[in-house]
Amino acid sequence: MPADVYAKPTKRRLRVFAFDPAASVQLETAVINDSVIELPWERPWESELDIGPTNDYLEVIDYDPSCRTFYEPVDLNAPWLLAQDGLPPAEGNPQFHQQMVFAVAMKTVRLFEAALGRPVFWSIPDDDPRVLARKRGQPDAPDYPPFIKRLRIYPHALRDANAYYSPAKGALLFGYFRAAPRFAGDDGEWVFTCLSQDIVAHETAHAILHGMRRRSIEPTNPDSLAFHEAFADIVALMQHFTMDNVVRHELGRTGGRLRSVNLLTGLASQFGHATGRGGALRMALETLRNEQTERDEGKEVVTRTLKDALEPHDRGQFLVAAIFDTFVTIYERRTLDLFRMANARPGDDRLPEQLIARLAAEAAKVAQSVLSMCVRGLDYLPPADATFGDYLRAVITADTDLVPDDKLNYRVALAESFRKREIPVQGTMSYAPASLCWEPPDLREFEDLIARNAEKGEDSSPDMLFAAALRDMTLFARVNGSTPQHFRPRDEDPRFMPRDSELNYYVESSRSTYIKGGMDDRNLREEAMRVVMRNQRAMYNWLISASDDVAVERMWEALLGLRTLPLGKRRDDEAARKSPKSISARSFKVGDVRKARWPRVWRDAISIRGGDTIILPSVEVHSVRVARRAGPGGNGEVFQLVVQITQRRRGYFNENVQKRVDENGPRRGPADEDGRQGADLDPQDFWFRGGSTIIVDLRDGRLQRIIRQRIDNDHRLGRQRSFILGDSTALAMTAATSEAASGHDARVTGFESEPFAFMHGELQ
Amino acid sequence: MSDDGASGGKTIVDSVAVRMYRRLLGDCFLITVKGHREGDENEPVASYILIDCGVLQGTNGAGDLMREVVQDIYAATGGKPLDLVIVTHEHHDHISGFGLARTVFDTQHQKAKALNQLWFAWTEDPADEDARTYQAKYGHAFATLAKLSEKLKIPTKAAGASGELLGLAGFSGPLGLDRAPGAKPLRGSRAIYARLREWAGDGNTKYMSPGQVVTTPGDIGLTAYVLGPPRDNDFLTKSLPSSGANSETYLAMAGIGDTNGAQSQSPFPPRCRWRSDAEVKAAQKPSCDKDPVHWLHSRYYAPAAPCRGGVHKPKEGPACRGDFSRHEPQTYRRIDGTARAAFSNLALRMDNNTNNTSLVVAFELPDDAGVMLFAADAQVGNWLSWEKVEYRTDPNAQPLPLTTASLLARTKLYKVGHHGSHNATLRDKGLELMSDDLVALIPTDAKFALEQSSGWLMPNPRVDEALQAKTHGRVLRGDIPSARTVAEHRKFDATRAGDFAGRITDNKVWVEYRIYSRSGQQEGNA
Repeated sequence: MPADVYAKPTKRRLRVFAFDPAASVQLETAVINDSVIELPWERPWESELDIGPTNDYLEVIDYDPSCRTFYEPVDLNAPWLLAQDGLPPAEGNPQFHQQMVFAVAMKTVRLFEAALGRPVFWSIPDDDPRVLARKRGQPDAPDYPPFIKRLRIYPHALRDANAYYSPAKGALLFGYFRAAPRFAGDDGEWVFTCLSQDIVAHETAHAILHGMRRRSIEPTNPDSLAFHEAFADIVALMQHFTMDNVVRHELGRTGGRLRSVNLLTGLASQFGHATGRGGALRMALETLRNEQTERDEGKEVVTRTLKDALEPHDRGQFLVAAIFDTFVTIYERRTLDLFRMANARPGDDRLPEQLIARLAAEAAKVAQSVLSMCVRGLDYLPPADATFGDYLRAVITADTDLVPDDKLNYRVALAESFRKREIPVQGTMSYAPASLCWEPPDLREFEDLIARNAEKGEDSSPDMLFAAALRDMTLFARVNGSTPQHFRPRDEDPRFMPRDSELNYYVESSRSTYIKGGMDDRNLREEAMRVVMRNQRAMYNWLISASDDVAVERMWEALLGLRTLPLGKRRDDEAARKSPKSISARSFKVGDVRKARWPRVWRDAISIRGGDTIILPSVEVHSVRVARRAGPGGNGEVFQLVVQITQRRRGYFNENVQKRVDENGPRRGPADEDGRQGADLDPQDFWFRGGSTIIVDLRDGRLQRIIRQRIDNDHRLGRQRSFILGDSTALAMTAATSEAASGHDARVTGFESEPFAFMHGELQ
Repeated sequence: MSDDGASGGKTIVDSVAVRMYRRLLGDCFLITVKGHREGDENEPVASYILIDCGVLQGTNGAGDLMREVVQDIYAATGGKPLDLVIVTHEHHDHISGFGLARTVFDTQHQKAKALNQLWFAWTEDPADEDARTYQAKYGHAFATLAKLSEKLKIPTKAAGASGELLGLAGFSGPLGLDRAPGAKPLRGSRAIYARLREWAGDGNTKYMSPGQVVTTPGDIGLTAYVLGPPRDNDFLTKSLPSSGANSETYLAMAGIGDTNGAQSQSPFPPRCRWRSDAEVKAAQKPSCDKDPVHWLHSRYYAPAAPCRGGVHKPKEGPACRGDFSRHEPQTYRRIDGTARAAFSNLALRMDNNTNNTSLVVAFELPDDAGVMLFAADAQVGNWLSWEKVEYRTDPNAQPLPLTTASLLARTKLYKVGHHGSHNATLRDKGLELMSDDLVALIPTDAKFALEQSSGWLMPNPRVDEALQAKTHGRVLRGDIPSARTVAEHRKFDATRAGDFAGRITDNKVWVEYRIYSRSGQQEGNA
């Protein structure tokens, strides 16, 4: 075996189209359309690349259902392919399609991992039978991990001008179609969406984002789906600047300027035109170009702002425009000195070759920084119902935590771009980066409590209390198989529902693969998944375990924006923070649990009489991830724990029903003979979610940020209701996409299971 | 005010009533205009206008229901032919009654005549070039849909069960309606339309375009204004797949014929068409194997994911135990069903498109007493086009000094668009412009609508809320007893509730609202 004799290569090089096949038949672009993507060779702790291609992250399965044909899976380890960087770009060879779609998707994955400082996981698909069984409330529903190992890619899934990420299947589906004939007698050329870098990067970004934020695909406000789209566009756009040969070529043509629309900044034309997609991106870039033209012609520049966007779908373009504007502004500032030294002016089409090379390097660097900033911001979003304004705050805060000194004013440039587009940010004084940062946890109202307990010799500061959660977590990959002892649930709390299968699952999964078999079988990605699951479990246990002090529990409820104490008539008459009984909960009869086994804090919190029902709110721990990131150029580093906790509450279209259920809880039909709960008489019209993102600095275990979205915020619930029922200014909404966003007629089309299919299709 | 009846001599309108048939998720409205010849109170005349006659596919006992409805209609006319039948658009829930109650119509036709005049939207006009283009495109899309449904074995006849695809087909009518094997699929509406034209007799079918101002036929008439469908051809056909390459695309999705035939659909040369689905499916072997066909089988057809390892390093046994994705279910990740998604996508587009071809008519009430607006299923595009309509009594005449806004401002009765769904009532350019005396009629069965597919909100709560506010509670619905509507209105306006209640006649088959009566009008004016 050569592996024993020779060292493994560090990079796997794969040839791809820089843009799309159409660029190869135009003289101007043919020279630069052949590009190579370099991926790190599989590391010792990763599985080897298999046919498909298949690795630890992706599996390409080339089944074409329209002609019931499997195309042969490419073997990228075949010696002849290794010797020539994979197959040469060719439209007519499905194996090249497999290679390209794999290379571009993997490149996107690696880019996210570099920015996030942790592995990318894929969200478990909604159609997984285990998820469905749990959703239906089957008593024997098995437990399951919150993610799947590989995202599936079907390069030829549809005979349609469409490509989308399917959260239901955990797959990317790429379509192909025959374009309209250009002249009489022409057959019309075939267009393959899997051969466009932009489309592949865009869809992969959707999948990654969904893996990080499971609730992000629920349309709860006009920004929610627009954000998903815009973010995916930003990722696709910024990746253009990583292709050095293309960047040089284009900078040479435009004299070092980035604002005019050219190959780099436009979506690949073949697909853009043939599919009519990339609308937000194209509009964003046209907006920027028009503004630049006005500036060049000395006219007054009219900046288009978010309020010009009448439809939710239009809104995405403003986010793209704001981010791209930031990128270009920073690029311009950073290259000013280069132009001066070379005694050249931007826009001159005869710039020296060396200058262009330096400009291209700067562009790549800035693109990388801006994209990393954007990606890191995702961790700082509230776990549900985020808006563009929240995103700006998230990006600024994440960047502040990583790079405290903003010497190059990236943050100012970003905030300025958002302000220019009038993207509203709620709850801040101004667009100054310092005031945009999320506030650290506010402890003023708990100072008395903490001081009082301190007198008793108890440290009840949140940092100290949270340490109990951290104690049960695993923060490094383990090389032995020890199982923490703290996983035995406390059976007095009915939320545990101790089931053998569930316990076995966690015990089984907490065994490290590192203790079994040889080193060959160690797979760090799988181990990372187990670690995340264990930490999620630890976090959940901590969250629902009651402390002895009601005041401390209430402090957590306030800090985290959710409810953990039983819902019901409160003992301490603190009307200001009442608990809506519409919160999703489990209930049980007081008599069913022996009094001695109740946590005292329940009795302290609410008045309970015999025969009463105790209603315990449910919580979801969405993700507990450990991130280690380095700032650009070794500048700053963080070692953080990122936790997302959510809770849901029944939302109703009718405000009176909402009020009734908030106060009295949902009605139930009579229980059956077996004592099972009666039918739900108040099924919700929609789910309203709240909760928080907790960022812990793992260097000292301190709670760094708690980004909250309160579950008891009735105002926000009202906003979501208005949004779901239709735009508040018009009963009718014009586009099919907004119909989809409203979630009603769209249900007819199966929108809920395939939200992205309809975002991209010809419905636009 | 008086109008010239079709049979000559001045007539005075005494009353106008609108009857909405109940128990239908579908439209069926009978307008009765009663009056007398000028100067002779003892010579009563009456005209009857029927607007649509349909029920959603999948309604239980639809045939009996519609026969009962049509019998009631002819009982109301006293056995006379209908003076005018207006067919707004070709959705099942607007026209199926003409087919389901065919025997009743036929009997009536033999006795007297079923109807005297028939109105369609201009999109049905065989002499109109734009209409022919539209019909060709629509017909093509329909044929595609029908073939797809056949290939995908999507049930086209509703059996009370719900399902997303069925829901759409429910609006469009049975897809493969009564056709001989091999024959071109014919839309159900074509046969119904042909029969309607036959009943009307030669020269009695009229095709209406926006802007036309016509007096309705019969002994006594009302002035009718046509608002839609828009003539903008681009708009009407925008969401249909163009003929040619694209529709082939849809057909190819269904995997026509046998495997060999299907494989020939591949854009790649034959040497690239590696294995058929059947070959891979049959390749059941141990999951970890060096053969790529087995490899694919274990990843696509096998119920659970194979263990780690691949063609280069096949693994079995204990070494695979640590594999995270081992035994992960994967059947649901297959994509054989994506063609169905394409089907519903196309069906949805056709559905919306058809709704926008709705013939929208406003009727002027005598004595300046207001306007009745029948919006059929017009969706946003149709509504928005009304603003620019110019009204003429004669195509060559100067436009009348009249705008759609002024018609809306005088609208006192509104047949709510598309059963009250969210995108068939405009606010600022629609409802808000209408008169404060407005009464709304929603032909719906909210409970049944909610059972469709994964639930249609008909009416949409927000639309309902706006209607309630605008009409002060005077929203008559097919599925709610009128007493409840009266009670609702009383909450807003106790003094006038009596008058409102007095105008309603209610039974289990229909609810009728007397929008105009000459005496009442005079009292009101006094």
